[in-house]
Amino acid sequence: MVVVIFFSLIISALIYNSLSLHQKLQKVRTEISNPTFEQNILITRIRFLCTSIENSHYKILAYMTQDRKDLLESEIESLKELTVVRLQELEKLKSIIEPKKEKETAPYLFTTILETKITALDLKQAEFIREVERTQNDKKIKMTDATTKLSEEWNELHREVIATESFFLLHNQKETLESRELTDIINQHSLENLYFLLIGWLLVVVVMFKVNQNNEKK
Amino acid sequence: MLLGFTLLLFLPIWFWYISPELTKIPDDFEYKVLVFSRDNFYDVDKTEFSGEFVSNTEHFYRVVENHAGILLITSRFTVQQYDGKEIFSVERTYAVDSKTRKHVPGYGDRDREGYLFAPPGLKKGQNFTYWHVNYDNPANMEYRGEEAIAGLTVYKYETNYHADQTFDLEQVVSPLSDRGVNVDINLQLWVEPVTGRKIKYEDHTTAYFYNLTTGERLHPWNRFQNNVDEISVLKQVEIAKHEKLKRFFLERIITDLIAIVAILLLSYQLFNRKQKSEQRR
Repeated sequence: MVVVIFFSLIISALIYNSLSLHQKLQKVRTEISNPTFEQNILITRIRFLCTSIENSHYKILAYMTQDRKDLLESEIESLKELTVVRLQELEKLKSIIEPKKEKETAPYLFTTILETKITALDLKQAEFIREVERTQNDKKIKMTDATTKLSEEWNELHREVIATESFFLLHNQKETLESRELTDIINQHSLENLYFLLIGWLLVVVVMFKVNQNNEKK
Repeated sequence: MLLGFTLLLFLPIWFWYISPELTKIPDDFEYKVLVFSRDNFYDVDKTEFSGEFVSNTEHFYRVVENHAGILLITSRFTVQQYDGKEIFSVERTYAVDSKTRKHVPGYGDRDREGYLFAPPGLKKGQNFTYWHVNYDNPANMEYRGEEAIAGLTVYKYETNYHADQTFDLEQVVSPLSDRGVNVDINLQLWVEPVTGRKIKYEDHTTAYFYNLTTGERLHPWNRFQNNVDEISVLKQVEIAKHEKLKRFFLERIITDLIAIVAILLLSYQLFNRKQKSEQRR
């Protein structure tokens, strides 16, 4: 009877250990690894759009210097379109992070900071475009002090956006390494528990065998 | 009879010597967490803070030497701006008793008070002294209540204190010829009470420039905060749960088992002797 109870207890513990391992690994996968992967795709896309916007910004400056009115207009349109797409991607990023409702998590804080920086950049860009469009009305387009100053300010804000994106990606990279470490720890602990249970099982078997032998001798 | 007595004598050896040896900080101890840092520098010209940005932080503790039970532990905390410029960087050497986790004077790079994290076996409401890497000053942690993080019971602690960081920041804040930097700190800790392991922490700090001669504060330098990332918290919870189970098994189960077996053996032998003497009569 005692042997049956012991064996049942050990088998239950082994099943619990195995289920707990599976549950923990599943949690790491669904709550950390997969969302981080999704975030990385969107941040990389936003980053690519930022680079395209930067190129467009420099093209506008070049067309202004070269007095290329024909190309300037289409470039301004392209810049505006890219900015709209960037905002859409940012909204997508927010939508995959916000449902968790954990306001103090790193992805949430990163997205909030990124949104603040992009809003400031877009406002500066709108100001810059207004100034460029104003000069378009003149017979000959040329760089004004105002456009140069606005472009410099835009550059600084753009640098901050790029830096925030880089740190977001760097943080996610560190998170991936940390989640791998967590997975290793979970596996190692589960293995230790398994060994411990098997040793316990072996001890019970040895004790029971000895008791049985003694009883037979008597 | 002899086995019963042996076990009874073995009980204090197990409890006072062997069990603490098995639960002490190991020689390969390492504590690494992902810290999420935010800085907000003060713009003197605009007389306002220039806006929050995220910094790249590295933080770990690692055993470097063992002097007969006193561990020399390197504790590093570095914060970098997005352009790679260092905002803050310190590396300290702690001397910690591997069994009690208390700082030991005379071994590290300076004498310290308190514990590496917290003393094991914390009681509800018990306060303790903690040494936080950034500020290199004792922090008297006050008990704030009990919480659960990912199924693990933890005690929350908090303190508000001040520190002078002129020495730590002289490489990154210039010019510091007549100015120093001091900080107002709000520090919160979440500790697993059985093991004394730090599960997570948060600090909200404002650093000020001050006149080294008069001590008068001139203007803020930086308002920053550090939080442990969610994934690192889960990692610490997993480690603490395992350590707690190990402690429970070694300190309670094994100790109780030795005591019970010793008492049963002695009682059985005494009962047998009594029966035999009664039979002789």
